[in-house]
Amino acid sequence: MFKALDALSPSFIDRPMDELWQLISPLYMVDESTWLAELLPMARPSAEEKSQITTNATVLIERVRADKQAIQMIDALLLEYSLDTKEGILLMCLAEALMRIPDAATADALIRDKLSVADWKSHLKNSDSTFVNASTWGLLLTGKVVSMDRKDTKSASSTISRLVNKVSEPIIRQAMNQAMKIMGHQFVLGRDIAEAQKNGRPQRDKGFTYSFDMLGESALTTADAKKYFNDYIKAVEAVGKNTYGNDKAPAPTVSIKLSALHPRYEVANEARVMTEMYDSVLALLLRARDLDVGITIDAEEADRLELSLALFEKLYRHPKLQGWGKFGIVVQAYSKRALPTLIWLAALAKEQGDVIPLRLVKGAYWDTELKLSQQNGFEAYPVYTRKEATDVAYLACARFLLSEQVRGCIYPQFASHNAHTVSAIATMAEHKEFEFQRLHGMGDALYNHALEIYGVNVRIYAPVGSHKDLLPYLVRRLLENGANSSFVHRLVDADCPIAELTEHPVDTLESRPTYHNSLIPLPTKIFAGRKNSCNINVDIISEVTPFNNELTLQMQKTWQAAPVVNGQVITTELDNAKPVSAPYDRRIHVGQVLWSTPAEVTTALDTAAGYFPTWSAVPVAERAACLDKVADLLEANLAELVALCHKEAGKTIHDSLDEVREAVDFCRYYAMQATENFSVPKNQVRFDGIAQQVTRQGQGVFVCISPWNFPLAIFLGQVAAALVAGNTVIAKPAEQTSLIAARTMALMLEAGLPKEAVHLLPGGGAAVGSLLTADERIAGVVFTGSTETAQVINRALAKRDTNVATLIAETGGQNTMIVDSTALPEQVVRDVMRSAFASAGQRCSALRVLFVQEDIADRITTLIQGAMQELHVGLPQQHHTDVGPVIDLLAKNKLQAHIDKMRATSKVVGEVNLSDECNFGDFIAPIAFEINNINQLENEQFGPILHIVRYKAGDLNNVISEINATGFGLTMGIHSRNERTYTDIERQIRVGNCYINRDQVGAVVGVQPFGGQGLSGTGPKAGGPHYLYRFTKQVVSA
Amino acid sequence: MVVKNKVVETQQLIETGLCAWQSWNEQGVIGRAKLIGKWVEIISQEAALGKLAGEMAKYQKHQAIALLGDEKLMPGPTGEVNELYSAGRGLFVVAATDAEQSSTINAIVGHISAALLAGNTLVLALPQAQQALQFVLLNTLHAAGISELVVQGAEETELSALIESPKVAGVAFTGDAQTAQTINRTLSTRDGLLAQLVAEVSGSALAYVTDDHFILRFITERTRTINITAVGGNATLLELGGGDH
Repeated sequence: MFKALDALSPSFIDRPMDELWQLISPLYMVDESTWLAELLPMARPSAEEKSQITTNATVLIERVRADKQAIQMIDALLLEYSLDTKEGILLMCLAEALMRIPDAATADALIRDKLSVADWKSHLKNSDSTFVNASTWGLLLTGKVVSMDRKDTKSASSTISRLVNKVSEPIIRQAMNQAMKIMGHQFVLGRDIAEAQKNGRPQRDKGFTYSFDMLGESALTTADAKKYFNDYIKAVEAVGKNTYGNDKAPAPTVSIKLSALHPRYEVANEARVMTEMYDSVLALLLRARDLDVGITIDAEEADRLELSLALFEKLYRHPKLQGWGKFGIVVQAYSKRALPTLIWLAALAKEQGDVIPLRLVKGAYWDTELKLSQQNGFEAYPVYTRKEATDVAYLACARFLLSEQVRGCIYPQFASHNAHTVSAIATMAEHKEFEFQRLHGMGDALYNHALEIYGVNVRIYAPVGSHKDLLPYLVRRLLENGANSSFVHRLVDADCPIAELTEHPVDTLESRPTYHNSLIPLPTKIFAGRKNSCNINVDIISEVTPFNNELTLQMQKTWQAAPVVNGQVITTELDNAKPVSAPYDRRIHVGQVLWSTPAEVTTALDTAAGYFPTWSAVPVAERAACLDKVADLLEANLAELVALCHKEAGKTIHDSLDEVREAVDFCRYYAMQATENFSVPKNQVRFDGIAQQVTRQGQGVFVCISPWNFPLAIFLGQVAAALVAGNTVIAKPAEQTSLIAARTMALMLEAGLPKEAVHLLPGGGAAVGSLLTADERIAGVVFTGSTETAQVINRALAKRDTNVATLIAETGGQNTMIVDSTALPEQVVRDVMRSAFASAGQRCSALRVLFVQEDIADRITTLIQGAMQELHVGLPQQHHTDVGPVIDLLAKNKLQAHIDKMRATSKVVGEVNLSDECNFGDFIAPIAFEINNINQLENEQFGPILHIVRYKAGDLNNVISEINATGFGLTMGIHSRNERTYTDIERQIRVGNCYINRDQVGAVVGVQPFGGQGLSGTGPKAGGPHYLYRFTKQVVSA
Repeated sequence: MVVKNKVVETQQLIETGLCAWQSWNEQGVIGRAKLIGKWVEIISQEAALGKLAGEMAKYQKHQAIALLGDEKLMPGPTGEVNELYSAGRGLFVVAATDAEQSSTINAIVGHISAALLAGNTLVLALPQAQQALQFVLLNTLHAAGISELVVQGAEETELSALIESPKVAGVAFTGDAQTAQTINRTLSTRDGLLAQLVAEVSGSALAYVTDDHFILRFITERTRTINITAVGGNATLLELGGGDH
């Protein structure tokens, strides 16, 4: 970590570019408090500066508040419906979805859903209004809301409810659509660039200039990327040809979002980004240079920062762009890497001599970044956890950007709607080579006055596009600025004292007990009582480089598996060892495995049965401590386990990391559960009044039979649960993944689990499994695999002349997803791709049948088809591989047979081509079929095969019945903005795990306990609070 | 008198029980506990069941509320709501071997109350010798307000047809280990879902039915995950980020 203050030394940016580049990545998730302590001196004003800022800010705020025109539409909207109110959220939800719903019935239902659940009364300030005139939207959007008196009423909300129920729905829908359109107008400058230019004239006359932002979300398909490219070209040409107002203010520019220009703008696809994407952005830039239209690259998620900088540099250095000085970029101050990024960019500009226009924003993806980091179990966050910390970082960055040595290298563009920030920057600046930026529709009054006071350039960032594309943008903007605590909100709130608004963020931050926000736990600490499994972010150079170095070594290894009985690795029959090859390339030798013989099965049974009383008597805390140790050892051996997952199971990088994480979570979760619930004997009074002391103890010898698709996580999850509950264990891993099991077994013994307590018997179900399940000493079996095998095991156990055994079986599924027309197609397709094709569809939870409401089915299938074209099927250890091989030839042939059969009868919606990489492995190219009915499918197809069914909105209940009638009940996904719809589906559908508005794979231990019902399994759910009880019995101890 | 077709009749019992399942299950643990509470009152006055039968049902009710009463909010990453809750498994058959002891009656009452509380519908198929007991049980359950579709009675002769049906989710059995094994073997030969055999074979000790987690045998667990950032974002988190703490 470098000294932040060094950045202010004039020669710092003269250091070699390489050296400065190295400063960026290590700060990705640097300790927040440590780094803020570095930034604070940079942001801290001198006494004189501080009093100047306070005075300036106070004047500015007073002028804004005195201005009768100050509260514009959006400010009013924010004031009334900030997103920390239920109504605010519902309003946004309605706004976001309503305009794109093609069918009237669904739109009406959505309106009904949103209008009937909230307390609109408190927002309706006059009881006499009729519904149409007085609908909150009508009020709000015609600006009357702010002039209404505050008389409350008890009848307004019931009026709405009654009207919603009785007034003809089409009328309400029209009114709502109209209201949403009006709202859209407030946020969008024009539907196309010509309209935007026309609408922007009054502001240009006042001396403002623009940066036009062509609305649109990230492209999922090449076709969409092409469409956005054309939009950008058109915008550039229109801006280039129109010189209106350029005499009064700098010429307008165009902002572009890189994710709109390529369907795979992500670190994993760096090669494509630096070639295909580079080419198209370059084409755009060359056209812009011809017409002298400045271009700014918008900032997106933290994972893509380093990639975006590399791309920027390559473009910036292009000979035809040299000497221009209008190619700009956006940097987010909430990013811990912001300062070194600015330093590196300044050095780049200085070296080449072309100024870089640079917009400094606070950042709009804050909640997303936090969620992603928590889900991924990263060590810390890439962003600050307090708003005032971001404000401090913003001022520290501004200090650097305004410093003399940066002048002429970077042209800073400060985007803020905060009067204090604006005043601080105006005060800190000793020259005028910078500008302010604001969003169209926001902060109008603030900047009208700032322009007057400071006479600086102000550029308006103005979205251009249709309402359909507006709303996701709108939601993001409101999120960024909509919380009650936000400055925009408080600026116009007369109840908020000015002194609160002019407090310097350095003072605010320093007044907090800690610089980091203690209410937002680090990702590793989001679970009470146990550590979240750790992870590395393979998109970040400083994270992935050391990991890759180790992985490369581990990938050269080979491994051996053999029976492990009583701690002995039995290799007496080495001649019979079976070679193991890699699923992605059968020429690659991964290791060898020795199957267990009947003699070893007997010894394992004898030992496990004999040792049970001893193990059962070991204190729970000791057993749990062993599991915690196993978890730590797994994390310590991460690279080797990932290598094994690649080579033996054909798992991709993310799947391999997730696999280890899940195994770690299982160990820690079960250790915690056992300690909490089983450590201390409980006193209880029986129904018949008898007082007794009871403990929970193991049942005896458990057989754990695990599958190849989660060769580490499920294998270890079963074993860990059985052991910590007090049972001794004989584990029979899937034949295909014996090496991973053997390595895990070694780690278990290393962790101190007694050699008599756990035994490993590699081998086939018929040879080893049946010997075990026939033995009368087996108290229970925990199994994950096919429904058919579960039946075989059940029958074998039942044949024994002994007590009924415990059988915990996790079996197949015919998992579905239902998508109605309120859903956002891009989001649906992203989740469908992951649910159906990740892990080559070899997850129990994977999506098999997608039900799409016919009204949006064409758009969805087009997107699926296009998104499938962008999938890379190939070697799993490559970062850019999305889909790896299937487990073996047998699986491949079975899937291929289904595909062949389906091709004859059903329409292919999309399919992926296999590259030459796949020639030597067992690959199935992902494919999607359109079918008429789920009944057309007999069995689960355990691979990357998706079936799509169109349904009519009115047939939803039939769809649910048909899904229930399959008898399977594992996972289901639902995409709907209508809460009633998804609640209703969830209530009626008989599945174990239901996921709403997200993908349906990747259940997390202790968060989404996993397991199905009916044909899908017996329960209890793995990774849930009831699981361990099934491995125990209650014993009266006194 | 027309001789009824037994096979058809048994299948009808099953279909009826399955049809009644959804609304019974949707009443929720608390709703069902109220009805079992009424049953407790009624059977406490019922000499034929002995004085502890009501206590047994009361105990199961207590455990049901404690273990299954609320949807459990699971911890997790921000921006997502994860809930764990339980549902009944479907239709259970309640069976027993001949026995006159009060402990058997208590066990049967334990099975009935736990299975119902968990959200299952029932067919009672007690031995011929205990038809009087079955009659009392059915009458009192119905008197407590539990629908005749939710708890039905069958004759012992129908037992094998019942447990051979792949539509039956499980059997709650009280009696000897040998019979439990036989039932288990029959269940294992079925195709379709793996049936649950909940067997109290400890005689008068009632070790199983008094296990404080006994009721878990009758449930299936469900997890519901809602991505609340799909629209409208994560306002709660935003508040934390700007808070005064």
